[in-house]
Amino acid sequence: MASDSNIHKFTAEDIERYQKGLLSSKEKHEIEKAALEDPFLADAMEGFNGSGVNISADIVELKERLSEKTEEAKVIPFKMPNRSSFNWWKIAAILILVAGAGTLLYYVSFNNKPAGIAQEKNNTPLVQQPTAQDKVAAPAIADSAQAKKSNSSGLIEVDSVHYRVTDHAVASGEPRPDLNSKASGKAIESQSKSLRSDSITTAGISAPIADEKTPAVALSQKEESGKKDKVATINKPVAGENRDGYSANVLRETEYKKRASETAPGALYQRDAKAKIFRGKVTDLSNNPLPFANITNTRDDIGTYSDVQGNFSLVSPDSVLNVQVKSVGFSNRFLQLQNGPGNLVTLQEDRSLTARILDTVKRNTNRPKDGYMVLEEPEPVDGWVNYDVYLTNNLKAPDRLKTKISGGGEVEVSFEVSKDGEPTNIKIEKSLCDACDREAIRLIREGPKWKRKARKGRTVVKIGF
Amino acid sequence: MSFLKNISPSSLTDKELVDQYKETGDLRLLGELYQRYMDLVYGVCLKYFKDQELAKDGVMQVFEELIGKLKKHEVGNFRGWLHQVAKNYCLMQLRTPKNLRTVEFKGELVQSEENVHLNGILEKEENFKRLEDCLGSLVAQQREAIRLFYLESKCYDEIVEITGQAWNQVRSFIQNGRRNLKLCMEKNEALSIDRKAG
Repeated sequence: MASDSNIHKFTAEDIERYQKGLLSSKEKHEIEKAALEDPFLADAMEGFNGSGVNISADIVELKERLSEKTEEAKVIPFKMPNRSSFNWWKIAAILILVAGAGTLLYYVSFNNKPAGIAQEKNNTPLVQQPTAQDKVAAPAIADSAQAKKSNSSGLIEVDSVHYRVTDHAVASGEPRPDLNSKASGKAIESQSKSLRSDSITTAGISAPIADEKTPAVALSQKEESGKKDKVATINKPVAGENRDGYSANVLRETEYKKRASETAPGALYQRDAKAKIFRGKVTDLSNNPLPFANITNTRDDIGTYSDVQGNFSLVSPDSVLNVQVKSVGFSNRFLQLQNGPGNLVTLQEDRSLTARILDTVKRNTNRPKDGYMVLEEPEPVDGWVNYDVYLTNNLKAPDRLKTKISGGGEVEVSFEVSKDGEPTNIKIEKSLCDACDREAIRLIREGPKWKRKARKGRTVVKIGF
Repeated sequence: MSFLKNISPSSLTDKELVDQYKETGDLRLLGELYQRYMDLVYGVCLKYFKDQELAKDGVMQVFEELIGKLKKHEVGNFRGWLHQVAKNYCLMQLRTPKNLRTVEFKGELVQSEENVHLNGILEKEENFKRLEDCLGSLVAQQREAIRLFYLESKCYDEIVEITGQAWNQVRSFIQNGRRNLKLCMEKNEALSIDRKAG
């Protein structure tokens, strides 16, 4: 349009000068008149009116940016695809990472299963063991037993699967070199001493196993124990829990087992019927439960202790069990247990003894109570009083001690408590004699469970002999 | 068209540049064209955004839009069309709620959007009489402002001095006066046509 070229094209600079009052009146009039005609100019003038800063510099900058754009025109088309494809890369990368993490988790959780399976596998050979020829089986066991005679620690390392599982059933005893196939069970038992340290762990394993397969386990144990009539099944009651169910089989190791093992050489060949469970409850005359009362089979000196509610159970191939039941402050009682539940044992109070031994019983109950210890120290789930009762009831003091030391001494044992309430990291703080120390450790290991208050809390228990 | 390439783009008219751009898509042509009005686009953006950085970005964004739009649309008056594109862009940007601002609205100070070209009308001699009559019909302030501005070629500031009124008011008078004159002139023109006919 011709008029286009006629119109004086006011620049930003002109407008700027107009704003700053640098134009003459005539010039101002000119631009104003033009603005009236041209809304574009009018708008621009209005815009410049508000800014007030250096407009010329901005214009220069804009011109530069424009020339950049027009010179690099060809670059523009490529930018957009790059942006979108980059986003695609990001999305793809994230998906791969998530998928990778997912599969990892899956595999990790998957791996947990085989462990469980392995345990069961351990069981089956055990069960089958007795069904095999004893002759064949026994030597193997005997050999291994002998071989490990000297091995006092880490018996868990024993490679035979069945052996390991049976560990928990093995009674303790001295190794008997002259034991052959028949005494396979005893041989295993003989290793029990060294198994001491492992009894808890095995007990841990045995507990669930026993729940499922107690009859079979008991059966095999019975075979291997080599004893005619006994099964080294010891109920390990979990404090606080009412384990009326089939008992776990805990290895009991005392030197007296040796005696027991000597008595029945041909036992292995005797296959009795399947194990029987003897359950019952120990109470006083008023029907109050007696916690941690000791129930021992008189024949093989294998026993157990009742739980905090007085309930106990024993497994044996025999149809009747002759036991001694004792609890501090009460008269000992000998009686015969019948197969099945309902063996109610009532003990009579022994007033003559109570006064004398009362103080010695409360060895641990009367403990110093300074602030720090109380806060962090673990304590028995059923309390110190009951624990003291347990210790007194179930102590099997070594014979030699009785002859050597009169008046009795003490062993001090310290330990931490694991997550599951089991004593760990057991240390002898004050020793009395080797056998005493061992018995002390055994008592603690097999005793009622603990409750821990701090992760690294340590407690000291005194055991009187 | 090869000879045109030798001629520097700056000597071409707007229309010629538009046509050439449409043909070749050469951004440099568009750039040349845009540079002529970049100042005004910047001003418009400043008016709407009231922010220098936003306005500068706006100028570049409008250019981006031109690249496509110019190819698509038939553009007669590039200048006017560009103005509209710039305004539309600014208004679209302002639509985001956070950008909305409430400003006092003074009706009498709003500038007229009419693209009124009075040049042709004023120059016609036969309209002078009509103009005199119409001027008389104006509100006193408007008449005075118009007279000072157009007939005495005074600028706003001068009129402000003379009349003692505010700058915005002066501008408003002039704009409204113009509109009223135009209406009056058109009405009179219609009447005179009728009279001539009748």
